[in-house]
Amino acid sequence: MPPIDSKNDTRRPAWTGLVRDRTFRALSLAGILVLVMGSLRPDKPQGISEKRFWATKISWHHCADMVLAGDSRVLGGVSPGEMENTLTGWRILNYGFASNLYVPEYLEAVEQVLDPESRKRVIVLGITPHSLMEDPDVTGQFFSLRSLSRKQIYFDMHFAPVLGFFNYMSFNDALKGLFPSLIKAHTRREFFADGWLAYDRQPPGEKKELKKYARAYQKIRVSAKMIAELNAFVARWTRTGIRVYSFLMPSCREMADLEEQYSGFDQRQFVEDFERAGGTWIDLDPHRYDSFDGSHLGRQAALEFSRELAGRVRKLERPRVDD
Amino acid sequence: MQFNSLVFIIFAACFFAVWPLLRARRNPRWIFLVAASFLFYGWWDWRFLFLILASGLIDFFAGLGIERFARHKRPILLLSILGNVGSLALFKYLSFATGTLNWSLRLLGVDAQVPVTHLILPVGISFYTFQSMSYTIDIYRGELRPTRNVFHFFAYLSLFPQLVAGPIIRARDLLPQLESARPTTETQRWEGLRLIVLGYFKKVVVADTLAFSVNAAFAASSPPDSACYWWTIMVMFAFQVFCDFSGYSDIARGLASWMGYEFPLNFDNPYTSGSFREFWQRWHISLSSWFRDYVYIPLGGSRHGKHRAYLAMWLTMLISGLWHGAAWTFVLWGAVHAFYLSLERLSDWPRKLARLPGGRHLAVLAVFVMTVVAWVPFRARTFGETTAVLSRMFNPAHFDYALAHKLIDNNAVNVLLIMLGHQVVMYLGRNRVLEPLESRTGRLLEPVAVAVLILVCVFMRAPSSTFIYF
Repeated sequence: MPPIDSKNDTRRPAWTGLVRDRTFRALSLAGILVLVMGSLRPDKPQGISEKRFWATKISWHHCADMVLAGDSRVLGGVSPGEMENTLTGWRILNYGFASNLYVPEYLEAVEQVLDPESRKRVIVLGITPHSLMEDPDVTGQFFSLRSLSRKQIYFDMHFAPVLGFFNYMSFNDALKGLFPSLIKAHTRREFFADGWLAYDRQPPGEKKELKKYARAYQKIRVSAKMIAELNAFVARWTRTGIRVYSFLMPSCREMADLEEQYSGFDQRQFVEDFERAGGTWIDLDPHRYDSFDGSHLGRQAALEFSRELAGRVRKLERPRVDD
Repeated sequence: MQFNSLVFIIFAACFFAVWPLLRARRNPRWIFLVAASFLFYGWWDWRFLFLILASGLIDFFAGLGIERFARHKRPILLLSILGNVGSLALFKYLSFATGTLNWSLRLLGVDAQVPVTHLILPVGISFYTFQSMSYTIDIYRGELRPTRNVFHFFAYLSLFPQLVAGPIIRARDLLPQLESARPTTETQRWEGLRLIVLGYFKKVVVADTLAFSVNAAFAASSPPDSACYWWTIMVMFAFQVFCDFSGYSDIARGLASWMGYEFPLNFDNPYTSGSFREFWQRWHISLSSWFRDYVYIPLGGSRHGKHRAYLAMWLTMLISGLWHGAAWTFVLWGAVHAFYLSLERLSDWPRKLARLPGGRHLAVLAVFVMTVVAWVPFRARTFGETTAVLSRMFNPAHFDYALAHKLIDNNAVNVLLIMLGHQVVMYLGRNRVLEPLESRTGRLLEPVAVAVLILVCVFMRAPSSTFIYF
């Protein structure tokens, strides 16, 4: 850059002659362009803002009667709001995170979400073989959120709606926003304050997740150590009066076959050990629901599944709550 | 707070809203600069403020002492240097030194271990201690008169745009500027905006996009054995480190321009250099010139014969390597550059090559390729990793272009191609492309270009990461 040229210095105060001021022109034009491009974003996320969603979720403490735990399949596959229609008067939260593993740090955090004053403390564990694996390549979203500073969480909670407008987008996205006919498939996400992230893809895509999981299962298997640690928590929880339910999170037929064959997950053994630790297994048909990407349930399937799960929990809970 | 954070943007907006109201009078101006700079720095960790305060007070009083007690100026200077180097050694190099000592003891078969202490490393300590030291040294040399106003001194030392990652500005250049603060001109504001936007583009679009691929390559548990892949990754790193650091300097210069001050150019298209001597005159100019004036020349420079000059150059480069990071890999990086410079002095190869047809272009290419090789120890965490990457780069049997193409993120490749194209333009046309156009058309079109660049920075930024030199 050359040194500042004083030849053209106009020495005008900042507030006059704005129109001729190149800085003002550039910033004004940039402001307009940013507003236009931001509003062109196709398939804008709905509900509360994404950053606020995660910042709130990772900060939950002593505020629920029932906590739904698990990985991204639980995150997108179980709606607490829908469950509350059946389980009226319950405060239910979805504490699922992407790429989540049932490690002790996570299980401790799950317990902390429950309200210790509540008379009906329930933890529901959505089991997927991947969440029981010690995967060195996966740190998981739970840990990255836990490492956020308090300042960052404060910002995400309070300024997130504004920040969301500036989220990354490509010019391709802007073009699609301008010409919606260019969009071949819509992936809509809605963030709910109760921790549910609803996905909706129209038309449903290829089941790409199957390939990803097939690759992962070549390297890693379900960890017996992790299952033992999980059951130790289940035993401790049940001793302190927390009821623990668990179920195999449905996905799609192909994924169920893949996991049965390659993940090393022995469901019969798992259920035996889990029930011995004091938990109650809920048997659901893993083939009844279909996934839009091979792994996660879409919005409608998630709502149906949540209703079924709530019904099953209500049957198990009714005698105790009535007591 | 980091330049690429929302907090900083809010901070800067508040600062520049208040600045015009306070800049007219000396003490309010300096107090405001110090308060803002301390807020900026304390945002990382308020405890860091005690260190900068202590370091600054030592040099402030040392400066006054050198002037007042001229006969004892040498011990006063030594005390000041000891204070600065001591705090740098304590916070930055203690665990490195004890680690090295333990390793040496093991090597000698001594069964004793010195406990390794890990102290928190205050952000920017390497920069402000150097800046602070130059103040007392310049007073000692009679090149500067000390300021008697502690706020004036701390406004110089802690001025937030350059506090944590430079440019390292000499007191003789900045203290006189801080004496006054006239209203900024249209040209200064425009120049400032161009620099700030360019700096952000370099950091959040180029460096952070490239960082994604580079970090993935170095973090992989089983890295691919393809020479093409590793050359691409290392060229990416070369541009990542350049854009990261020069981006910071550009933002700092732009902010200074908005305040009505001028910071010197810190990076002058270093990758278009035709020799390593030229490279070091263009890369991190403020640091290179600091090392030249306060290390190389005091060590004898080139005034005491060839051998002494080589020794001074090697020592300067090794210390410069260690300044960049407390690890032997950084020392190795300095040694590689010292070796390049020695080779150049001995053979004068760049000049000889430049005499051949197309030789100047070849010299630029050769310097760039050799610089890329030197970046390997700088990026690698251990000697083992350094040798592993180098052996992959220099294994033509495993060139495997297809694997490299498959593994490297397309976005990063696009950014790399843009940067390479930019370098070619810079090389052919030098800086003219980026000079402000004062014609009527230029004054109309340039704001549009800058506005588009802002748009790109806002929406096409990569996930933010910290600056490399922090």
